[in-house]
Amino acid sequence: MNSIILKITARYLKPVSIIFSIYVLLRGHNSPGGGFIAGLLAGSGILFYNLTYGIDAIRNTYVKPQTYLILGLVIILSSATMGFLFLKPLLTGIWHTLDLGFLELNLGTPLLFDAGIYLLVIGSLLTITSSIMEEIEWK
Amino acid sequence: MLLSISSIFLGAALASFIARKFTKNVGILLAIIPLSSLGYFLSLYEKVRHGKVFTTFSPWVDALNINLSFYLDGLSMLFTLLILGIGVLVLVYSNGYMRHHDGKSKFYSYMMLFMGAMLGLVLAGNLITLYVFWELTGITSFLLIGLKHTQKAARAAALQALLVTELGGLALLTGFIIIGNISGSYEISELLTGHEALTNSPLYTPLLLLVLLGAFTKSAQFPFHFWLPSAMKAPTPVSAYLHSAAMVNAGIYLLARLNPVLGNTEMWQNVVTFFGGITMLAGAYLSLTQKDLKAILAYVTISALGILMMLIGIGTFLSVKAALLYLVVHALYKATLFMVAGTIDEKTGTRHIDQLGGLWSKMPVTMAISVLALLSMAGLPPMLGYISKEFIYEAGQQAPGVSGYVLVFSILANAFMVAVSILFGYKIFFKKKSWTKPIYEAGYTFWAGPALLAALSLILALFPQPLEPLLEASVGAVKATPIRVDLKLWHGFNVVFILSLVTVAIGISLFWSRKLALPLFEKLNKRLFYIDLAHVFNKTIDYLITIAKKNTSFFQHGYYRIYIMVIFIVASALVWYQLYSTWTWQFTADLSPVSYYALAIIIIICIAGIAVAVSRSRLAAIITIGVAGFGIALLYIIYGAIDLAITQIFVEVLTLVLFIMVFHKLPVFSKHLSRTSKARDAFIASTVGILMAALVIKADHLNLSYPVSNYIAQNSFKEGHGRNIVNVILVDFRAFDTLGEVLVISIASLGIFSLLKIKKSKTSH
Repeated sequence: MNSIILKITARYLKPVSIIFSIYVLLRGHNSPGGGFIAGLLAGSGILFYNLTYGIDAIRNTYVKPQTYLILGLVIILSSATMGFLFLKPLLTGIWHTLDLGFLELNLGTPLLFDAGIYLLVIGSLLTITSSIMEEIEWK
Repeated sequence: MLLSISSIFLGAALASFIARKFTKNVGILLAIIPLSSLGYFLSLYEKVRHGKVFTTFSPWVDALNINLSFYLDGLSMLFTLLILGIGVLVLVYSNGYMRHHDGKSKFYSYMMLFMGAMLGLVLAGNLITLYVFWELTGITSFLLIGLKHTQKAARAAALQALLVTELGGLALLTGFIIIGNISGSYEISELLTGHEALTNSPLYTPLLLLVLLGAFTKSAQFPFHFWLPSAMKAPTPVSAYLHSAAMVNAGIYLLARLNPVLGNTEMWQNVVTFFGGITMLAGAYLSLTQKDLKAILAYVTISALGILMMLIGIGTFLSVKAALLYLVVHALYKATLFMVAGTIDEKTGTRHIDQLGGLWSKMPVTMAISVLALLSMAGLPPMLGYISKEFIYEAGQQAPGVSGYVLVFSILANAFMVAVSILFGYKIFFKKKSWTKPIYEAGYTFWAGPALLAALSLILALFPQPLEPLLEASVGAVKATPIRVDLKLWHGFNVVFILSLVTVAIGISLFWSRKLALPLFEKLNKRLFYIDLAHVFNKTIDYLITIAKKNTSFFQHGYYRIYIMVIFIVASALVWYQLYSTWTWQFTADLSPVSYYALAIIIIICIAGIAVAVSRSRLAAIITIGVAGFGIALLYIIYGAIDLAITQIFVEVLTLVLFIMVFHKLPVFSKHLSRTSKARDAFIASTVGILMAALVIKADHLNLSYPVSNYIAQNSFKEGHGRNIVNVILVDFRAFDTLGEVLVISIASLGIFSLLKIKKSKTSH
């Protein structure tokens, strides 16, 4: 697509949407947001970029869509089975509070689970769209 | 116990490594593992003998009463010693036999896996644990039978064995679940006290039949016996192990184990005894007309399994004693004879009984071993087989109610066995035959194992003291009361002894008249067995596949329109029926007041819906669908479901983008739909739409006493450490759902990816 406005916008929108999506991912546990929405947000940003720059944009990236997918699956499964280390059943949330002095961080496997979903949503979104783009030779 | 089972599984994992590193002595090295387990169990022998029961217990699925527990009493001990002892010898034998075969490492690792599965099966203290190991033996034996996977026959035999035994396995699982539901526990130790509750239950008959189906298929009872002779496509050490100590005895073990729980009823006695008797007779008779050494032995195994089944069916003290002794006898002679058959095959290159002969001077050691084993098989003195045969007659004589046909059947079957034994020995070793190629005695790894087993069946007959306590302990376990077992060769001139004489006489006369009798039998076989059960089975499987293919091509015809139509019609019809049958109109309850801006959004959505239906261009339709989607997102926001609204907006945008992306690839928008098909579509659409509305109204009036949302709202921060309820539900309370959905999404996207890739690579070639 040869629109200079689109190209410039997409170039700046992609990092913004990714950063914003991470914010949405992290706030998700207490306010609207979470892995699924954040994944859609980041995925849309990247998709927007890909659609403007064509299939070459996908071929030139270091991280292939399927990598997100597999990484997401690995993270999800490891967070699901982490409870086994503490002899708890599958998917039990394990929480640990980190005291940094100026703030307390509640870290737990649900956060990891959410991050996995985030990557997986990006991965499947991009896998599907990039396959279609390859198929119809989107320029 | 857990340690010894896991050590064998570890051996399976190491087998391929050992096979690569120590190519010469894999079998001997691997045999150390079961040998050390054997030592461990022998060290517990004294205690088990005096009635001590060892158990280990660790919870597995608590909510369903499923535990990983193990249970060692006399009966388990007897089977364990057989499995490990013969396992060691078979591994040593394989060391020589498999040396020049391909796929050695695979063979050893399957063999060890199989051994571990068998060990787990006989030691399991929980029915579900037992079932898991039961299936594992089925799968590993599938791998072992199909080891020469390049041969079509081996693959077919493996598949047949798997299908038949797994059919029984599924029945068995159902039976176990019924048992668990009636008695509230799967623990064998707890079931032993619940005999009355189970036998008086109205479900006893189906339950027993299901369990018996499992045991019968596994132990190759008539009419499921056909898979066992086909299974000899496996390498000989596998057959030796499978037939003597392992897999096929699993069914026998199961029934012996469950005898105190389910047995001692009229139905048990009649069914088990009858099928056992038929199998015993048919197996013995059929073995006489076989030409292949391994086929002869396979049918003898069927007969032996029939004997065991019949004796367990009778269920008296005497018969259980006879069964367990015969189990040992059979394991000893059958493993020996299979190994001998393998050796002969390896040295002469043939297993056809008519092509063999005159080997007595060439292979004297093998000859001596076989003669001992054959004597035991024929039930002649001074072997252990003789004692057990006397026991069988004694048990048959005293069997309540069924002694008539049991005695006749066992005398006939034993007479056949005598004839087979003589024929087997005579044809291989003593018939005159000149060999063109030189034949030598096999190496020590070939005959060491069989020699030990054959010697054992002689020594234990002459000096039975070490065997007696084991039998006492195991008979005690089956009958749930202690008992004395006396084994001696000569126990007086009585009816049983006369029956033995008659048997031998019939057997020898059968052998003498073999030139006359065998062709007659073969003719009879053609008449009697013109229906080959294996063939029937294969035909059934083929037929099933054909039906499945037809079925698939009917439903999966490939028109998306029709799929959607069928789904909507069927679903709405079913749900309408359900609504109709449970309908109570409560429409009087007031609908909550709707604010004017919500009303405006609803009207916009309705207009968009109508616009989609009447639009003439695809682009317009897609955009109007988008309008409806955004309208719904606005409604979500109004009612406070922010997460849903954001998701809806994103999904809406992405759908729009995807649609427009593939837009120009879609077929031309069809404008020539007939009036009738339009009417039909409108009808279906409005039915489904009204149904959804009705469902929503109905859902609003459902009065759940305690909605689950309250619980989640109260506990979301306490247990899930999050204030956003939606998110806590997704990643914590219902994380298992999310996990499943996530897997579906990834499979779907990989599916799309690979579909398009395959298409691409096909068109580019």
